[in-house]
Amino acid sequence: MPGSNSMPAGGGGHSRAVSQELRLQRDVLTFAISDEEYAIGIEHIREIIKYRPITEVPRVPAFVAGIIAVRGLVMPVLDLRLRLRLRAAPLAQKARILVISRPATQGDLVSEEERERFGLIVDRVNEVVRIQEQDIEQPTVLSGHESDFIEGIGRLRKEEEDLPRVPAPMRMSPALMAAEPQRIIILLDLSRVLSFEHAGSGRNQ
Amino acid sequence: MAEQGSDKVRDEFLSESQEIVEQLNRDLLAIAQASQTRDPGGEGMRVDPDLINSAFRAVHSLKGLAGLSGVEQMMHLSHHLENLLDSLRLGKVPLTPAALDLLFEAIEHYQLISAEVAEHGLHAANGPSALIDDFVTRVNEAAAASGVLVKPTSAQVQKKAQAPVPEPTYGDFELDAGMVSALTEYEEHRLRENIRTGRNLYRIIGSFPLLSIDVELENLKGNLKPVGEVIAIIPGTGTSDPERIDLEVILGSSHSAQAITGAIGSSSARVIPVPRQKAANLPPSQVEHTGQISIGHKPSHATGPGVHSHSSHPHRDGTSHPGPGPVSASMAGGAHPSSPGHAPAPAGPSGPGGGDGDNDRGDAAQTLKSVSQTVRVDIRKLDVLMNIVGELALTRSGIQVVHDELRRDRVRAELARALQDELRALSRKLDDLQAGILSVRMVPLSQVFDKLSRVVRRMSREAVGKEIMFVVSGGDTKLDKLIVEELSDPLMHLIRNAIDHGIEPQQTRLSRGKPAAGTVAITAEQRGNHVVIEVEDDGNGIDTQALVARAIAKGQISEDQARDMTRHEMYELMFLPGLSTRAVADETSGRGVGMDVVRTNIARMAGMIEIDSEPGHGTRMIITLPITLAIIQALVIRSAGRTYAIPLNSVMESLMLDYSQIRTIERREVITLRDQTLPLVRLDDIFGLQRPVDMPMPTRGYVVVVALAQHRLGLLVDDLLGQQDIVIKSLGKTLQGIPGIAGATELGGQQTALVLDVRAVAEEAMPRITEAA
Repeated sequence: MPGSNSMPAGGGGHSRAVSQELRLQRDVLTFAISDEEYAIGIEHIREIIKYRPITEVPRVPAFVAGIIAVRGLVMPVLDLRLRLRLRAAPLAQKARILVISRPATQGDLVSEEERERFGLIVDRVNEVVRIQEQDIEQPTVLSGHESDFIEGIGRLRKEEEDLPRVPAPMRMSPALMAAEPQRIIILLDLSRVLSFEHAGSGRNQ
Repeated sequence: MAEQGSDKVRDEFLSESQEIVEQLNRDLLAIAQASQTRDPGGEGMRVDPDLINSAFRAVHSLKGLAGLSGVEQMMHLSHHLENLLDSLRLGKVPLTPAALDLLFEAIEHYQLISAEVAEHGLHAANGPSALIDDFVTRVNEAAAASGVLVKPTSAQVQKKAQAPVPEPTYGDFELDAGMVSALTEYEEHRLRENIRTGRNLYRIIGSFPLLSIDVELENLKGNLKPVGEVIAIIPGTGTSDPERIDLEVILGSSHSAQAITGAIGSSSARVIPVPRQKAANLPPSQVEHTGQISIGHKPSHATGPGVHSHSSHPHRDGTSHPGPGPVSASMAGGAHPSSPGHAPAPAGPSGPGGGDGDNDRGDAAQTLKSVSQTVRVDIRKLDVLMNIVGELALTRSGIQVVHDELRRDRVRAELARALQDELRALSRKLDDLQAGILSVRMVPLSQVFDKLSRVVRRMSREAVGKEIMFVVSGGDTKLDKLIVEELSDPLMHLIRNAIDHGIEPQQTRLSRGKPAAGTVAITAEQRGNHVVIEVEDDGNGIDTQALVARAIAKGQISEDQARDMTRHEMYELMFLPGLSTRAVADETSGRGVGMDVVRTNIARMAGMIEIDSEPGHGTRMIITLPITLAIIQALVIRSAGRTYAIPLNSVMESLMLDYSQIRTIERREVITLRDQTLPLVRLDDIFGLQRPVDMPMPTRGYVVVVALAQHRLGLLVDDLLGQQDIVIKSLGKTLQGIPGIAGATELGGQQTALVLDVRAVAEEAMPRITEAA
């Protein structure tokens, strides 16, 4: 349709600019599983809720802990520890469920609100940090099973802890800087984490 | 983006045109029904003029809508149909069965166009279409009543097809020429019809405040409807108050002036009988009612005989009426209203006295009104509302917990009591809210039945050597919109089966002593939380021998099995894939879709279908459906520490069982229930549920008996927690389709339970059982 395509073209150009900007630095939510620190882009996080009883669902992979209903919406909950093929462990005391929405795929026009929700069980939620794109390493350095779900490995330089979300006294403390070596954060590829099949897959729709 | 915009326009066009076409269909069916009750012979059928008007308005609206959306074919079609309907309502063309068929055919054309638009967009139905052009030609021929419409088989038929020319006379009524000149062609026609049928004419003169005229006029019309026909509403003359408007209603009625005054009620309108001339040649019935008050209107020169000849001897004096179109033939000045060859004065919408314009406005007001009183709602929005109600109920139980806490505090007991009262009120309102939202989802089954009636009409015309009477009842029974939508295909299939396989050819029927016309009846009835729909025919019944033979030939059952089968088990064979008792499918029988699909579709709506048949006397299909899918009753059970909900409509009974009563047949667990063997399935086995280590194996539990086709199955569970109304929710895209799980539901207190898909569980277990048995 010549003449009517100014909108899509303009919109596309705009989002490219934004994504390029986003590529330079990223805000991620970090959380712990065992003693490793993982992260997911904050744009996928809908809310963080306390751990609550999960209704077990038969005939699904073991890493699907079951379902919960949050504000009337039923969603699958994944045990992230099992999903990442880490060793099973009892539920952590500070365990939380991250409610996330499935990342948009290319050409996907479903609005944020309508995207499918998931719950992810994590041992502990840490904080939101900003990572420079240049500090993200490709996961190719790893060869384990885990690397399937890893988008990259972020290194947090000390001066970059310089975020308003970190309490000011801590930020200035030379002791802390010395005590904390370079932080390594594993950035998860959410699309891969959420893509799996079960006994009923393929019968869908 | 542009695409999306036009999609929206298209969707709106489709849903709106669909609604209007459905209305048109209903009107046509009502017309067809009304015409059947009278003698179909004579000169065309007589039906309530309001029905034809309503059909006319529907087509008019379609024309407007199509014009607005740029669907040329529909506009073209509507335009010509409008002409035909206009001729029909003006009595220029008699309403013959052939004309009615033509109108019904139009519905199919509308639907073809809609289907085209739905698939290929708004512009798909532009440009010429041979099919529609051909149809339009036939419509125009019918509208012109040139005789082509009715097959010229006899001279008499020819004569019938000639449009009776409206008589420019008004019996012996002394009508004011100025008033007559203000009438539209249609109003004139109705005026003459009323006179012809021997009614009296009244003028009802009222003064209405400008602000509330629509409401008051509607009220007046509503009050007058039971006592007569409002022929026309014309503006009065002596308006003195600028805030008010005088209107005069011309009413045709067989009631007395007093009765009409009584019907009007408190309104200040005056009822004045239109005076008659004293004429000797009038039938006594008319003379009796002649005028009491003479108002001194200029008498018309009309005389009686012309009126009475109207019906029996159509005039063929060469008076040519203006062709179809928005042209009104008014009495020019009323100077020579009795002259048979008067020249019709064309009057546009702003014709003399604004009569035509008035009429248009009346139509528009009526159409607008019906639109403004209905709101189309996306059913998903109702689901959202239903969700919120569920949330509110959970919040309520939260408050209840706070209340219970409060009550323990002796000082605050008073407060707790007050809170309890408020909570009760809240609960009641929540129930009302839920019921209210559910009622919005409910639509009458007539939405489907009307469609079926039309198809049956066509099929019975096409079925060679068969005559079908289609009887519908219970169309006002309401069901969830989603269910009603899904019903049309299965019902259509059952009715096709009845006409094609059930009803015998006329010769056969007569030789069996049955009436020549076969009856196919569809009835609906609400029974508690279910609706039962029955499709019944008085045909041949099911040939069980042929059915069994085919099932054996196809290897679906063995001959040994066949020998032991009861009649009902044989009927169940109908639901096996690929079994049809007739080798050759003909025009009307469904191809490719079998009864198995019908059953699957009905099961998807949580419904059941059963067959009953009497060889030689007919077949009955009984469909039982829940009223809504939004809320269902469920039995909440525990198994291996997990909670599940089982839809109650699939549960036959539940009983306590000491596990020592379990027997095994070839290692399959069974019990004996009322002298019958009931196979058992442990829910924890079938779902592979691990029993928590601290939970000992129970020694007794419960059997929930569920039914699948002719098989019964007992689900072994640990505990029954009770019945509950539940809202089934989807597990979401990722988890949907898990065999045996229909969805999830919230039970309150943050507890979520899975809802069993009993059919899938049973089907999964059945092969093992049938093997074992």
